[in-house]
Amino acid sequence: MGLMRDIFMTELMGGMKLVFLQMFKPSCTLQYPHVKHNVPDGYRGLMSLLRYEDGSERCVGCSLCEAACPSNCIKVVSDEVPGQPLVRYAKEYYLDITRCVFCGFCTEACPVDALAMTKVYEASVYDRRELMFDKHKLYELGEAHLADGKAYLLAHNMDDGTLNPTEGLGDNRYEFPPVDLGEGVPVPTTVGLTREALEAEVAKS
Amino acid sequence: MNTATQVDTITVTINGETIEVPKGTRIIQAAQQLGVEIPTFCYHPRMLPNAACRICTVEVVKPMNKMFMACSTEMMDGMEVLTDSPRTLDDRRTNMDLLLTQHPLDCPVCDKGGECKLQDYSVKYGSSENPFETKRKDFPEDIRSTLLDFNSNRCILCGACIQVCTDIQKVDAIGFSKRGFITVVGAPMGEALDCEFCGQCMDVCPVGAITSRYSKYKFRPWQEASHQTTCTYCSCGCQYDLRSVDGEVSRVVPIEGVGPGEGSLCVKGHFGFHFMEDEERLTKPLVRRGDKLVEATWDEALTEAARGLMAAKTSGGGSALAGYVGGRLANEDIYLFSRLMRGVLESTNLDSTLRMGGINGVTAAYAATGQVGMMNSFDELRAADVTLLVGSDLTEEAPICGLAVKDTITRGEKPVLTVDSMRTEIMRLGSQRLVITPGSEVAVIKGLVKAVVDEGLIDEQVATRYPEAVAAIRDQLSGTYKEIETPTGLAKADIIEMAKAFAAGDKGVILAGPRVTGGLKGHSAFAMLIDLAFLTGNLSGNGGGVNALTVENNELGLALMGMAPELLPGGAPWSDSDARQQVADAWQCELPDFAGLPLVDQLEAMREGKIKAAYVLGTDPINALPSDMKAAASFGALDFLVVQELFLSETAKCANVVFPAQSYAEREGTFTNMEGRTQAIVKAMKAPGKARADWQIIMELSRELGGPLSYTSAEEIREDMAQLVPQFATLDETNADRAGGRQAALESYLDGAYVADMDYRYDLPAKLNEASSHEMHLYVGDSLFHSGVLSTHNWGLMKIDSVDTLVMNSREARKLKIREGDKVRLTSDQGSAVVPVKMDTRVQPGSLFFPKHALNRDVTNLAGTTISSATEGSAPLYKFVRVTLESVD
Ligand code: SF4
Ligand code: SF4
Ligand code: SF4
Ligand code: SF4
Ligand code: SF4
Ligand code: FES
Repeated sequence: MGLMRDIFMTELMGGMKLVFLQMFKPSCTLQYPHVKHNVPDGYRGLMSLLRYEDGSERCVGCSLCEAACPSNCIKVVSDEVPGQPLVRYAKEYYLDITRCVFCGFCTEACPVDALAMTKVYEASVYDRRELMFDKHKLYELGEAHLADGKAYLLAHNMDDGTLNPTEGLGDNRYEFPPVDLGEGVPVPTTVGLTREALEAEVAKS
Repeated sequence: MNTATQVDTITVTINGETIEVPKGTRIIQAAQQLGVEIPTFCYHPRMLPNAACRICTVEVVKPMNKMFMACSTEMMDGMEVLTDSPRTLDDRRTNMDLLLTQHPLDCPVCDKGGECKLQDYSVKYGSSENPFETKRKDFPEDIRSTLLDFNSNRCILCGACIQVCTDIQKVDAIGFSKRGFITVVGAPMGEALDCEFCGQCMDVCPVGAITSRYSKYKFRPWQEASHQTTCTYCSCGCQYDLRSVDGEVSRVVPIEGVGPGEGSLCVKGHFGFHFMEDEERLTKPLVRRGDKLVEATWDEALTEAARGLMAAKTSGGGSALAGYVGGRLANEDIYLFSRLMRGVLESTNLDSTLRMGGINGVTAAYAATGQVGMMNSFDELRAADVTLLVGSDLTEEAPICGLAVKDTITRGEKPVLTVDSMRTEIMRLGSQRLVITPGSEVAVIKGLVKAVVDEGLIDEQVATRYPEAVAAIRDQLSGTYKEIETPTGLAKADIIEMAKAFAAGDKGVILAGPRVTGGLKGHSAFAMLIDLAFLTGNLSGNGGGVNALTVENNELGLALMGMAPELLPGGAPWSDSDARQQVADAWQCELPDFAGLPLVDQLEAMREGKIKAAYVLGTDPINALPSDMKAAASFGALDFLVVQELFLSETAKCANVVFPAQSYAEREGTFTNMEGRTQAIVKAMKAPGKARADWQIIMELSRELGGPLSYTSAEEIREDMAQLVPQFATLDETNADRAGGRQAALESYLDGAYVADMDYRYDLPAKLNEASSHEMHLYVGDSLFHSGVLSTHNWGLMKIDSVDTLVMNSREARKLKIREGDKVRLTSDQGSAVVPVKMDTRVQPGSLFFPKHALNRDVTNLAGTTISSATEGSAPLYKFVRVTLESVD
């Protein structure tokens, strides 16, 4: 038996058969970086912060993400929005991507669906400091990859049934307690910082 | 039941564990002893049970089978309790469901999140399904008050906040309004809250219904670093937890059961935490170049300071130098400064803010009892049978000491007798009151002693055992009541009645405030109070006694470190040559042999050029003293002035060298409170810029001067201090037994010298009856919301009270057609000032009050300062001023 196999090179034939069969199948090697991967919804890429449709910030600065993060890479500095009593927001928000283990716990801890992971996986840079994401950068990512974020939340069951990917995120908006400033004092209406206000703030600093 | 079974202890069983407890113990207390946790919302260890929240329900199986509230049920002998039986847990779950029915989902933005009992108990005792349904309250959050926000949606109606305000703080500022599901908590009648802002309602609230505006959304409890430290504002010396997030103070949290206040704080300690981070803090040493102060390195500044001080010493000897210290420095700083001045620079001209009157309480107490500091602890104040409060608005000057007195009213329903020229809060709460003409404290005190002697109110034992001492006092009181009635405006009968009420109590406590020790004949007035305590049997170690209240947080430290020309470290007088030798031995140096000058004389010597250089630490005499004391001219006349401060004060602006100091939150050290407890301060945050601890600066300056001082930590200094001031050998946060000291007090009193000094003591000063063309009495004093210039650097406290407002009697104002906020002109013999007014019934008609920390200097400058005699502490008397008031349009 052994001799016959050696003479007719059956192993080789078997191998060559596989080779010839594969030749007619479509190629599965991706010509990365010329061709990009198509990642599934719910992929845990770079973190982003989301806004509501009207542009106001979702994050209420509750620091729960910070508490949930196992690698201690989030820092939230919360405060009252200047001029809007009782409205809470993250005055500063830092996420050190170099330490992030992409577990997604933070997104699950967030009570207002403000955090979502994008499909961005290309994080390499020449300067490590660029991986210290601040609030501005995180909102930028959120805007650039809004669809990813929505898909992420949906895929991870964080939508409580109101979220509809075709019409944007369901208004899981946090309602701040109304303010009593006494008779005749106008009650502020905006909730959270609008995009313009944020930009003005960033420009200032 | 026979008498044998009526024992004081009972045996009870909790969760199968048996324990003996005193009769009257409540289930919760017994459980705590066993370390069994029972959930509570409305229970508070310092208040009577109110049993409103029903979460503490437990199952009692013997002697009856029933559910009881653990917080309010007193245990019976043989009682058996289960704290986590299925039935208990079931009841608790129902309670939680009911509480959560209306509760908003605010946790992400609620400042209580992370330390909220409702959150914790929901996890522990709640269920995820709530069978009840109702409408949410959705009340707007009330943020109208300067400091406290009320969110009634989160309120679980436990009533703890209302109880603390009514029973402990005794202000009664908040309550529930409306009923049932729509009950709201807050100031009554829908008004905005405007109270003493002690913030205790916020502390006892188990949920986030009351939150502080000054810390709003600035912290999560798990982000905070915590530091137990001592308050730096007043002499009560409260302990608290200074919390910070990333090195920035987030809030102050009281520590239940710890320190003199047992967990209560006043507004200053609780909310005055912003000054450390004030932008005006000095960050670098400054050195004078021409008429400008320019930033310099520490080396330059120290060399320059040493050169200047040395030059003065070389040309005029130690007496050409002077030192002046404030009561905010730590003991270690004061000790080193004393050693630098006396040991290294060989000057005895060193004085402190004790001079403003505090010194009289110290020297009079020392002369009579051989001791320094209060005779009673705060615990003894709480246990007093009768309290006599003279010349102090405790609520404003020593709020937590005030709570101890209020406690005798609430818990013990004991009489509190007050004598004052203002209708203080305690006066309103107390049982008897004498409202006197401003400045006449000394006369009433004499009247009270006279009444005790004349009406046969002397304690029997004292009368039989110590007849000579009693006779010596009696001899001084032969005059009529006329001399007392005229200056005080009181009737004889009222004085006698108060004396009777005081003598009737077993443990009588006397408290004398700054209007006694810093008033006319302050030393004698306080000495008379000691006589009064002696006559009524309260010097015998019975729990009574007589106590001088100090104002600045470490005023007692100043006294114990001998920070006055007539004092030595340890509190002994400078004239005591043995004590002086002891100090010289400890310091291994010769002490200068000339007696130093008190502040007033120092100022004069500066103007005459006899004092050429001075070193001022932690106080701002140019700003604090009225202009007729010529402080600015005096310091201006110096060749060289060194100032060590947190801020660029008025005095610092005249200096040649300014050293930036660290605040109490940036360094280690100790403060001694008015009771004599020495408590630690700790480093909780980074100092701004290059500021250094006071003791370090003094030490380095000493090194520049070739002195021997060398330490590496505050603790090392404390070890060194222990040989002279044994009180500081160990920290004393509990303020243990002081009975031994009291026995010595009586012996020392009877020793003779004190009694012999009586003739002069009982002479009333002629100034009492001095006529004036100005009708009104203005008093410039302490106010609750402020303490020294320090508190004016707190934006928080400034927001509550911006200090520059004159307080006048409401009825009188109405009569003069003056409304709140109107401006009035005050005119005295020295000048005039224009200030806005506010109304308060605290001030009696004919009187006016102005806070002494005001930034408006015009009012302080109205004073025509007189200096009391050396026996009366050479204190500058400027706080009572006669003025005329007119409204300006
Ligand atoms: S993904 Fe995980 S590691 Fe990264 S920030 Fe969120 S919680 Fe932290
Ligand atoms: S991202 Fe979400 S969890 Fe984090 S602070 Fe903002 S609201 Fe809170
Ligand atoms: S009070 Fe407690 S349970 Fe209620 S919102 Fe605040 S943190 Fe949450
Ligand atoms: S505000 Fe807080 S302390 Fe006051 S009743 Fe409501 S829950 Fe209780
Ligand atoms: S100011 Fe006085 S009473 Fe108030 S918290 Fe500080 S030490 Fe206590
Ligand atoms: S703690 Fe007992 S009823 Fe509230």
